[in-house]
Parts: sequence; C-alpha cells; structure tokens
Amino acid sequence: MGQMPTAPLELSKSNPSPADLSGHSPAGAGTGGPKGFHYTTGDRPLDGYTIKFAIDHGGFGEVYYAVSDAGKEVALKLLRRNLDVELRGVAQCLNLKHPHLLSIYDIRQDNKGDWWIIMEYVAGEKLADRLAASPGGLPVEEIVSWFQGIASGLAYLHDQGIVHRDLKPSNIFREQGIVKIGDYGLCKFISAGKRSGQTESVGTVHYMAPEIANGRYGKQVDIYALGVILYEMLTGRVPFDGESVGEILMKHMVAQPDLGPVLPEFRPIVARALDKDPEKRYQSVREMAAEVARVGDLLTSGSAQSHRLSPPPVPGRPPEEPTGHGSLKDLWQQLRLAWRRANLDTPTKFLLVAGALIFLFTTAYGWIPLLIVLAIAYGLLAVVRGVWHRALALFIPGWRKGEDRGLKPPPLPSTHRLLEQGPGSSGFGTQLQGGEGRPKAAGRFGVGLPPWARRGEEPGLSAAVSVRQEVESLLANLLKAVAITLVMNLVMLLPLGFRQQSVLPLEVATWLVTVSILSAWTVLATSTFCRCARLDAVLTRFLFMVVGLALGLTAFGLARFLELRLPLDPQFTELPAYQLPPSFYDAEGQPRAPAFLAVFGSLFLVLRWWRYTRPDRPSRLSVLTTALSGLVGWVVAALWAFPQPWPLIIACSTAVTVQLASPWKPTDQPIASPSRT
Amino acid sequence: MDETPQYPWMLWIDGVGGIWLSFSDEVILGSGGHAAANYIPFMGDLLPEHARIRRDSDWYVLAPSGPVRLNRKPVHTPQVLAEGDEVQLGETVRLRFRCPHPLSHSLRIEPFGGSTTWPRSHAVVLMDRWCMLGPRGCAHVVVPMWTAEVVLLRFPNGLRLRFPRKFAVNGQVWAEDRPLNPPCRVEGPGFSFFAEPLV
Repeated sequence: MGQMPTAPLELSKSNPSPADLSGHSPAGAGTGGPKGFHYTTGDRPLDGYTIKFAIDHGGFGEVYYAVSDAGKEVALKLLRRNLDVELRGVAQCLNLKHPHLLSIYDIRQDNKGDWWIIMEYVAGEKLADRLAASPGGLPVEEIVSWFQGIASGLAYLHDQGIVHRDLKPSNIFREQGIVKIGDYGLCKFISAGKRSGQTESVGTVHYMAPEIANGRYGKQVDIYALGVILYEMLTGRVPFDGESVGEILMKHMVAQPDLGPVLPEFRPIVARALDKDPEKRYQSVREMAAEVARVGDLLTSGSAQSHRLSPPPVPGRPPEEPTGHGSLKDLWQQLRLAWRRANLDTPTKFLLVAGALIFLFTTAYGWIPLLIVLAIAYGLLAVVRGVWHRALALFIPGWRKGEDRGLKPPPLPSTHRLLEQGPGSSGFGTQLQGGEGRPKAAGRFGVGLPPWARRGEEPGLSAAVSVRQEVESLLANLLKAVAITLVMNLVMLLPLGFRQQSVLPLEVATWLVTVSILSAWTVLATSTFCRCARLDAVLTRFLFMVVGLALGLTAFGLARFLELRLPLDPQFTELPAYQLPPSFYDAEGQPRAPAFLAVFGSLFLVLRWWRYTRPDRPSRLSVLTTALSGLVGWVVAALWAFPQPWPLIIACSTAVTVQLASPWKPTDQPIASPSRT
Repeated sequence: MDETPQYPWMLWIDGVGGIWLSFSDEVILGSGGHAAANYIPFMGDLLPEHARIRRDSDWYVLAPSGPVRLNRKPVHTPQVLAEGDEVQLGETVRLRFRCPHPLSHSLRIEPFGGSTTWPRSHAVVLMDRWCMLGPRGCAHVVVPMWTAEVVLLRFPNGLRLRFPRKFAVNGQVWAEDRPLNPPCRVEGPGFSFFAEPLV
C-alpha cells in the first residue's frame, strides 16, 4: 500500500479548486459534473424536493432526477431560456392526461427566481438511444409499437388543440412497453444537432416541416415529423441531412426523400407524410397510424413473404389497400420469382412452357367456363368491397378521406398484441455496454400505468377497428381462395381422369369448382365472423352447421341449374347397409335436396373449420388436417350414400384453400411472462 | 481488522443514475424489507427472502428460495452464475449479471424490463476487492460522460478511492488516494459523483 496523505492539500494556485478539477466553473448553487450542471446531489432548489442526479441537459435547460420528501420520484426541469414562451406552453399542458404523454405535475419558482417544471420520471429508454443502438433501423414490430404509442399521444394533443412542434426521438421514451411523448409545450426552438436538442429557432431542424419557414405551425408539422421519425426507424437515418442548418432546411423545402432504403410497403406512407404540401399529407395522425398498423400487420403476418415481393409503389400515391387485385399481383410476382429461381435450364423451361400451352389449348373447353366463373366471382367481390367501403365511409368519420369532422375520430387500431410482447431492455443496460462515445442519459421520466392503459387505445372502439381490419383481410383472402381452389381441383381431378380413362363432363367440373369455391368462402367468412363476434366453440360449431346446410342447398340448386348428374366412382361406392328415406334420392340414385343438406351439414358440423384459419395454428398447411378433412368427407358421403368422391374432393380442396389463404403467424411461446400484466 | 462498511452505499452519478454498492459477501434478494448491508429489496411480488447470491471464491452462486428462472429455465437448486446470465425472480423482477472486468470479481447486476430496487437504483454492484468507474465498457459502472477512470478499493481500514491525479472530496483536495466516508461528494478532472449511505 502506498503512502496516503492524511490531511487535505492546501488550496493554492498550484492546488486547484474542486471546480477547476471538475473542468468547469460553477454557475449555480452546486459544483456540477463534467457536463456542467448547476445543481448536484442533495441540493434542494425547490422546497420538498431533493436532487439526486442530473439526467441530461439541452437547449431548454437541465433535467434532474429528484425525490420528494415523501419519496415520490420526479423529474425537475430547470428552464433557462425563453421563459415566457415556455411557461405559456407548459401551463397549457398542465392538466392533460394521457397514457402516452409524460405527465406535468406543476410549475414552481425557486428562491433565485428560476422556473422549474415538475414532471413524471421515466426510467426507460429514449427512442433516440434505441435508434443509436440500431444503426440499420428497427424491426417492423418494434417500429409499429413505437409508432402507435407516439401517434396515440400525439392524436390526443391534437384533439386538445395543441401542436407539439418539436417531435423527435430524444423526446420520446418507453418504459415497460409504454411509449411516452415528452417536452410538449416546450418546443419553441430549433436544433442543429439531430438528437441533442440544442436550440436556435422553432422546431428541430431534422424533423422540421418545410412550411415552418413560412410561419405555418398547424398539426401537419407534427405529421411531417412523424414521417421523418418513421423513416428513421425504418432506415436508421433521417431523410434529410447536411453540413449546416441551412442545407438541411433547404433539403426539407426542395429535395425529395430517398425512399430506396425504406421497406416497399412503407414507402407510400412515408412519402405521403413527407409531402412538401401540408394539404397532401395525412390529415390526421390516426389516419397515418392506421396505415402503419395495417402494413405492420401485413409484414408480421403470414402474408409477409408475398408482400415483401410486391413492386415498390410510386411515391406520393396513397397506399394500396389489400384488395384481391393486389393479392393477384402478389401471387403473380411470387410465381415469376419462383420461375426465375427454379433450377432449370433454358431448354427445359422452353419445353415446360410449350407443354403448358399445349395443355391449355387442348383443355380449353374445360377451363374457359371456369375462367368465366372466376370473372363473375371477382366481379361479385368487387361489388361487396365497394359496398363495404361506402358503408365505412358513411358510418366512420374520417375513414379513407381522413377528414376530422369535429366528431370523435376513429380510434387507432388495437396494438395490444404488440404492446404485450414485453418491455424492452432498460436504457441502463444498453448504456452500460455502450462505450461508443455517444453520451446516453440513463434515467428518464415516468412511472407505471394502470393496466387498462397498457392496452394502448380506447377499448370501447378498438373492437370496431379490429372488425374492419378483419373484413379487409377477408376480402383479400376470398380472392386468394378462388385461385387456390382452382389449382387444387385441377390437381385432384387429373389423377381421377387418368384412372377413369374419361374426360370429366364440363357441367360436373363447373359444379365441383364452384361448390369448392363457395365452400372455402363459407369457411373463411364464417370463421372471420365468429372471431369478430367472439363466439364460443358450441355456437361456432352450430353456426358452421347452419352455413353448411345453406351451402348444401346452394350446391343442390346449382346441380339442378346445370342439369347435373353426378357420376359415381365405383371404387368409392360403398353404399350403407341401411336404407335411406326415398326423399333423399331419385330413382336413378341421384341425390335430392335432403341428401345435399345432410352431407354438407354433417361436413361442416363435424370438422372444426374455424381452426384452419387461425393465424396461430401450428403450421401454415397441415397435411394431417387435410387428410383428416378428406377422410371425414369420404365418411360423410358414405354414410349418406352420396355419390363419391365429390364430398371428399370438396373437403380436401376447402381444407387446403382456407389454410393457404388465411394469414399464418407462428407463435413464439415465452417461457415466462415478462411483466405483471 | 476489516472495516468494511456496515451498510450499502448509493453512488449518484450525473447522466447515469444511482448505483447501489454492496460490500457483503452474501446478499439476499427479496421484497418487503429495508435496504441493509446484506439485503437488496426489489419492487416486485417476491418473497421477503426470494434468493441469495453468495460470493464463493471466484464464483457467484445463486440460491433460490422462491420461484426463480435462470436464463428462462426454472431452477430450484443453487446455481453458479456466469457472465450475461439473466435471472427472473417471481414473475416480474428481471436481472442481468455482468462481470465486465477480467481482473475483478466484482459483479454488476442490471435490473431490466422495468425492474428496480427500492430505493431506485439503475444497477447494483456487488463489490469484491475493487471496482472501476469510467467511460470504458470494461468498467463496472460505465459513465459515458466521464473522461477519466477511478477505482474504488476495499482495504482493512475502509473503502478508498484511487485516482492518479488530484481530486476533491467534499471540497478538500487530495492526491492519488483517499478513504471515503459518505455522504461525500467526489470530484476530479473528468469525473464526479456523490456517495451516500443507504440507511
């Protein structure tokens, strides 16, 4: 052990003062640390509050973590500049209450005449820190989680007639999965540093809308900033950067953002939010949030693969909705890509194309009528979709047009699934491993929220939006189902035709494909309805039986219309020993309406079809489930002495179709629930 | 005679937060009690003595008394902790264990996912012979704002701060080495913190 002085050194010119040692001159009551804070641990600038440590400081003033005499944790913000403007803005926000807004408790003046804002303390991380830790951008699910929280708080501010004007990642926090916006009411300056908050004028330059140059500060300014933040979360960088404030401002006013690094699905949203003309941007935060949620759901659901292959939309165009047309385009893109990637040389591909063309020409008599059926189906779908959208536009203010009509605006889509995925790592954990030179403050403002707040949005209305999303998704799935059914029936009929050494009659093929399509549609639509209505298993099964009966009646009507006589495959014909009532079959053994009702009613009663469409089913396409469905179809047909193998084919086709057409999202089972909720 | 502090310390560091400094060779993790030399209370639905962490020569051993998961797997018997291990106490308290410096057996416990001690701290350091505070990643307490590193050492006559240049404790300037008796404010070129006893 070395020699240690037992008395302090004398303070002289050669022995610096503590302030000199810490590298700065004290400007306030305390000595401060290396970054020059005015107060230190133990100081009590306000009666009843003891400062523990300095969190951060920026252009507006210094922020401290303090504890009240009773033990309440708060953040104290010392205002140093432009007091009149700041105090006016903060006073306006004193009584705002929203789970996604950082609470402001009070404004107090100390003995020296300095003003302090007493705020909620948040111990979580800043979005700015999160972005700094992920230079390439954030995962889509996390982006949606952050975005929905920001949008919810911002929409509330707009509802109160308040424009934030300085929305930026360093003003956005997250604690236990709850996103919170801070510094509203304080935003009167401009920052040259992207995340530092150093101030010069109004707003922060990297997130500043071009119309601010003309003195316009409407809520469109915040929507532009949201667009910049969304861009940054997607790419890890801001859309406009430069060497000087002037250069960045000029880019905001004249340059178009480079949307190349942005995921194609998000490009229309970012492009619209960053439009130079405020009138062309989203007219409400909720409208933009709904778009982000929709794209997020698409990318994180089973259809993500196909959507990632869609061509980049034209910037500035409104985002395309999940219509059947879009689904067909996706399917076409997938096929093209698969063809291009297929391990086949050119002559083989040529032979395959030639063979396919010959096949199509020689079987034109069969598929042309089917094509006509498909066209009719598409037309019907388009009509239903049109009616649905008109109904939405009538009953939900702001739907599609995004107009705030002074009524209660539509709520944001429910994001509780994302919010419940568990809190992220604490800012401190990140910070301790940081060491990249970027100073990161650990402590933030805020405490926990009541459980209902963790759901994110207004619970009463979120269900309506959920239904809307379900129907939107359903309409797209119905068209997918048509294509898949067509392929499935062709695949299943080919071996049948070869075995019987005969061509299937056209009317039979038409009946089979149409009934298969209707069957798949019935399953998809009924499952969606049951999910939205939250019916229990018994009611759901009953409803499926009812729709099965309706389908049977439709199948019978179609058979009559086509003057169809269903051929019997002798290998499948195993008539039961018992005698069925004569009303079931005519003299030639062709089924009548009761037989159709019995077969389809049984088929839909026995199998749990709704489980085939659940996004959390174990696999996207289960062979076992499909085989089971076929088996049930065969048994049902055998029991009711229905001509074989048509119920079997319909059951198999329906099983495969609904599984492939429904979104699939594999679940990662957490070993332990990460939070109390 | 070892004059190890009879109570834990809290180091308040600007830009970082509160660091709980524990000097006991064995600490109890739980909830409902008060901070003590060998007791670290957490905000959470835990037993009063939910688990123990014992320094055993070069190892740290976690002994569960209540529901504990180590790296997401339930454990019921004492386990040796390794760098980066994640421990969940009950359903809510989640901790990450770090031994950042290869030459020190001091252990840093990082509460995450909303977990926190009471009173709130942003990390707990179970101090062995010495621990380091500074801007580098190998420090037990990383302070990005600082430009210098300081070392806290346990000696028979108490805890001392070692720094190669002059520094001040409660306004009095010292050189290289100085015992610390909290509450005290320590400042030097490129660093500053406040130490207070948790009693």
